[in-house]
Amino acid sequence: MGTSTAQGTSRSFLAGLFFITSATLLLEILNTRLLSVVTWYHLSFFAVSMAMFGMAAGALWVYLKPRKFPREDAFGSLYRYSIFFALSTLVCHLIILFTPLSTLEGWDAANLLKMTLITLAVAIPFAFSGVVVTIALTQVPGNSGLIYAVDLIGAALGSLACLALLVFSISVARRSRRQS
Amino acid sequence: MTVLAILFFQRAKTGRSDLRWVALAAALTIGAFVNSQLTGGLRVFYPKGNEVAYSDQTIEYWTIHGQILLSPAEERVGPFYWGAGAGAPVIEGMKLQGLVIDGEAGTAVTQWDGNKDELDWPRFDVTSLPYHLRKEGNVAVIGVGGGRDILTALWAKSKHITGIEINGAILDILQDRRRDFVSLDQQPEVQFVHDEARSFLTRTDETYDVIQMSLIDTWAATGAGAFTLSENGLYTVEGWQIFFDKLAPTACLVFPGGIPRRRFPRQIG
Repeated sequence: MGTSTAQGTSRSFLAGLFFITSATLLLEILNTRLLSVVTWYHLSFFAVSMAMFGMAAGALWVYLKPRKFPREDAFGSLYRYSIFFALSTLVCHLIILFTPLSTLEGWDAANLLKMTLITLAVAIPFAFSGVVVTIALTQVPGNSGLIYAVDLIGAALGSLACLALLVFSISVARRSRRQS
Repeated sequence: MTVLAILFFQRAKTGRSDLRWVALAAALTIGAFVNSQLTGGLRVFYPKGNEVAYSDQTIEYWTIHGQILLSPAEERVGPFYWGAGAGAPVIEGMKLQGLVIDGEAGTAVTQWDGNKDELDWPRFDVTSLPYHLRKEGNVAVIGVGGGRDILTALWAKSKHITGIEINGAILDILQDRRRDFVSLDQQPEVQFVHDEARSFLTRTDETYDVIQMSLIDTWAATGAGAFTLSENGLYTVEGWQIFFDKLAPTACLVFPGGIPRRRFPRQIG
């Protein structure tokens, strides 16, 4: 009974990790497209820098505040910070959509403030995702090779899912229009 | 995906799943689809800091090569000239649709009824220069956009026109959603190719009397990288060598450009 519960827990944990890393990479690539439209092309891959910054900040947070992330409540932390990741993704993207930033008009105080706001809005969700991945890799007992493999497979498939959405959405829409 | 992650982490924590998370995931997926269909839904409201007014007629695409926004058809004083020559006609009530890539690079989708006998205005535009020298030839247009260069090639009675376009959304507009508005796909001499121009010209055995690439700058980062614009591979020595190899004897290679201060260094670079 105990073994089957542990296996169930392990499978659920691995599935959760798979989906959180998929969502993280999907979001990161979507942000490159979003920033290319909202700002300019040279800032589009700023999304990658901010994702790495956010995830590193999340990892550092777990390392510096061990009392906030007790090892015995690792699954509880994973659950809570996944919710924070979801909520922050929603709120931060609303901020990006509703913040007009014209980089061609020079860098006055208002523009610098807006750029700071957008920078934080891009980075914050990844900080929560960084917390989740760090806890998964450092606090959950089990086969670390398997955990790391699920992390990487989830991330890789999340990237491909974004490409698939962007590349195939037109052909799918076109086919459905022709059929109708 | 994140909601599913929450569901599974909750199951790992408590040993049970709250199916309300599944319902929320389904609701968010449906909500995203509904939002994409709504005129007043969440959109990029300020591309490059400029407010965009969406309407029921606005068509939006998100692709790996950039976001495409096709504005509703407007009756304007047309046609759109990149550079009008002396005596260029002005046509009242001409219908044009603005097509914008990533909130900046623009091209005009021009209404045309398919009657070549009445198609005369393209000859007054600066982009028609090669056709004054080489009419009735085999033409390759790199970067079809709204189809302006195809119209010019049709005015020049070109025997065969190959329109090479990297962005599938633009071909979807010209060949499907606005097919009858632009009447280009119906022309027997016009063939659209969905491909990267340098790759296509490397593979093809055809040679061309005119290869034209008019103002193809998108300033849109592709999925390949921030500074990997779709036009970057074309503005290279290797790209130009391929274009020269594909020219028939006495042919023309034409790269009209504008705003020299911004574009000229890239082209000579």
